[in-house]
Amino acid sequence: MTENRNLKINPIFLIFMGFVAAIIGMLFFATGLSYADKPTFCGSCHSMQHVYTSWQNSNHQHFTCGDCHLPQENILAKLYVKGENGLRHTYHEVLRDYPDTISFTTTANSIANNNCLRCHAYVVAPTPLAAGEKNCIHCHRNLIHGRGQVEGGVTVE
Amino acid sequence: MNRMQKILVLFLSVSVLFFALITVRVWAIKPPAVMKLTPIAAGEYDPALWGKSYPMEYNSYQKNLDMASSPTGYNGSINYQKAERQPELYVNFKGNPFSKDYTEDRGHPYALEDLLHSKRISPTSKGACITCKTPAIEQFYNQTGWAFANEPLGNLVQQAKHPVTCGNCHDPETMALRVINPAFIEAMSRQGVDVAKANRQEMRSYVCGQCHAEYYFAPNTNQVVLPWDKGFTPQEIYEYYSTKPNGFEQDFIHPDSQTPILKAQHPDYEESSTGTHGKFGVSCADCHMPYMRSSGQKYTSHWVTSPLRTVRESCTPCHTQGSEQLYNQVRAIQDNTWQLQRTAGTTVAHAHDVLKKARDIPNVNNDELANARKLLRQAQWYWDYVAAANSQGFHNSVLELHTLGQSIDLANQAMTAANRAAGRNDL
Repeated sequence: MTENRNLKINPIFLIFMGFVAAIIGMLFFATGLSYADKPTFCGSCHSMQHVYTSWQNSNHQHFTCGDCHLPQENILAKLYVKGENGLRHTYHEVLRDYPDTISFTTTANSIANNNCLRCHAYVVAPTPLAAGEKNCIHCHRNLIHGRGQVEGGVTVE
Repeated sequence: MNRMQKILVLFLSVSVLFFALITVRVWAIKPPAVMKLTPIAAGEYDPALWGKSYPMEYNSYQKNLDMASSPTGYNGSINYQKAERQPELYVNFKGNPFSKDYTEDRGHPYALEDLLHSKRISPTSKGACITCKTPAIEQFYNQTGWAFANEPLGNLVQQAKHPVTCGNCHDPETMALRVINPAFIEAMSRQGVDVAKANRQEMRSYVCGQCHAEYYFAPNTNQVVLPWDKGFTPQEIYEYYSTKPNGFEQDFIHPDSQTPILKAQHPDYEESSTGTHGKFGVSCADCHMPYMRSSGQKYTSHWVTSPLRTVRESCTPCHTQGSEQLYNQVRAIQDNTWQLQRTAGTTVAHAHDVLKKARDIPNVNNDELANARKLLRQAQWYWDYVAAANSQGFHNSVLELHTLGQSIDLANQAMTAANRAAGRNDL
């Protein structure tokens, strides 16, 4: 029945169709990823409103969210963290149970810190900081998402 | 359709529905970022009625009914007798109603109830006592000015109906912050501050400071006066009291030592605004009424309590060290202040006893004894300024520990002077 019908299809055509499907799939995936890498996408979530605004006013506004918040060592690590974070954040965004004060997990802190050093390692290299934990954010946490530029509160009308 | 096709259709439908739900919930319909202003009629003080229009704020206000020990164990919102933990209160307030009943205060919703049950006062007490217990003070003052302060408390309590609620801090028409305690407005005005022109961040402290402050009743009129003309520190306030403002000299005369004593009343605003947080522009509400979220919507917590119950919302916007380290830091400040407060309190109590013995010595040098009383009056004021406040040293730890140190020194000086007056060295 079905087995018989499959046998009748030309194998060359089947391979060709496989290529087309793969190309469409890859295009779809790449477009989605490219879209999801844009800060506008991150900022479209309600809970991200004020960090999005503070980033827009920061001296790092030409970088994307992922440049700092995703591991950049290899594509697999990046995709894994992006996928895992995305699922978790969507879950809480749907349930709307996120707190007003969103703060780093230990993993998120270390990812962002490594990304500071990706560009700024030479700054600490000649100092005793290089031998220590080199946690940039411990002191410079207000550099990008500084206080005093908070948006996303409640307007009374 | 065969079975396989049916499963496929079902799977696709569920997927589409699932992603539609996520899309709607995350992007299409956002949590409201606009709060609809519902004006309340002027003179309406029932919090339940305000709560119908502002449910999140009202629900958090209702948490003020919780009675619990504070996270560090100091103060809290259970109405225990303070003298159970500090027996020296019996000695230092002897001859004053505070030696009979000095309970820890409970939350705002209990303000009127606890006033009625306090053994320190009765229905014939002066109306001035109700100044900070109800929003109805607005009407009392509008109708009679400060004359209400001399009416019997019993009459006013019946008219008051509601304890400290929405109307104490909010304009019912606009929901903007406001202060209604005339004593606060007058005290700020004497310092050149027009409260009506205050910005929002200032108001976020003023609404608390209008009541969480030291005060005295002016003799005869019983008008409530906040003693801030020379400044907020215990030293400056003591100097102000030394000028006998409005003829006010003391709250009571201690029966043993015959010392004219000043009773301190919760100088929380004074401590906080001279402390590290206050000086750097952090308002009371920033820590005690932090921003919260409920179903994604931002609101201000109206559960006015120890910020250690809401470390994440209260402290972590600035301090990211984690709740355990922050707790330990607060705990250490409070432990140290508590220990020194007990030392100061018991030294003052001992001094009352020594002065009493000196009085009984024949031919005692009265000038020297008067000097001893002056020193003891100051020592007790310094101890009480810290002991009567709610933060157990946290609001301004440096000043409060310094003040307690001065208290211990002054009490010891008072005892030395009393011995000198008696021509003895063993009292």
